[in-house]
Amino acid sequence: MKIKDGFIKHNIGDKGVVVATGELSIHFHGMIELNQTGSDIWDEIAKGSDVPQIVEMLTQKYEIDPAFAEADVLKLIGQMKDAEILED
Amino acid sequence: MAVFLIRLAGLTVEMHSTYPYAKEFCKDFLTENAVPDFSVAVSEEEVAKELAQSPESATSDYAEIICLYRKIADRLPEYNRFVFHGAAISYNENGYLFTAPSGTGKTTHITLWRKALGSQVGIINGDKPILELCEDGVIVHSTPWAGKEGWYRNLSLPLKAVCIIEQATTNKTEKILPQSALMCLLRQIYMPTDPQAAQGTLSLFERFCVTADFYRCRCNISVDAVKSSFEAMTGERFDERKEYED
Repeated sequence: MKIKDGFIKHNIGDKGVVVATGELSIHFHGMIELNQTGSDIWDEIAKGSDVPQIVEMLTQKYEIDPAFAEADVLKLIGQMKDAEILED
Repeated sequence: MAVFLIRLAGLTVEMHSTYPYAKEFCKDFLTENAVPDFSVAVSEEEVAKELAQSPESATSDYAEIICLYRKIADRLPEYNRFVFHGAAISYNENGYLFTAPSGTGKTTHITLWRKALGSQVGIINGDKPILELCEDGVIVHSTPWAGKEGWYRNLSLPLKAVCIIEQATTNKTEKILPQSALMCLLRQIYMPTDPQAAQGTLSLFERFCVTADFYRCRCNISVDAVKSSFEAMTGERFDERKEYED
């Protein structure tokens, strides 16, 4: 699971924004806004973390139930796959 | 091939153009005997591609000026500047920037300001001004790239406020945090495709968000719409009976 080359993320306040650059920008025109949790998940994926590692990070940072954290992580990963942001 | 210099947003740009229209288009920004900060040139292939992708470009000479501005915009983040899609007007030595998706009514709203407030309101640029992030604020610069109306005056002023226009039946303007309109604002900024320039633009956007004052104006096309946005953004009282013409 890897974020395709060409996406650039920048944090603005507690949110993240993502744009596509280079060759990627020819096919991917949108911009993405991430809330704080989404921003954290994006950063973890970018670091190479797997789902259990991301869930652990969220659980510790936000003191939430691991089941809820995993559901959020899987949902965002699903959306990122649908949008062709992730590659294997 | 013509080579000429323009003074744009406080920068000197060397323009290389194939068609004579480019120099005529930039006539109010021409300068001489200056060392350029950077140069831009457009190839025939790029003009052809622009023509194919954007039918509104219509002619090769017009497509060339669109391409030239894109090349300029690609370089601006290096100089703490970026192109912003919006209509900028002047009032009382300050710049006010109205933005919205195309067709929402930016031009209508600034026309209402002009009607209600007379010659105290001037145009800076009706479509694509350049914003410069400085130590002590934001400067809005005019450019000749001014949309279909071609409304511009070669002028640079401190930016007092940015206003997002939304159509409504009644009029209400409120100060907002830019975080509540991040995508709306970011979509109005020219985003270079070069990763480094895009990163620079996002960094400038972040500074822009903490430096400028932002408002949302939900409005119709009455004089009350002007009263609403004018009072919120200038802090002055709007008196429609007052003679604002100077």
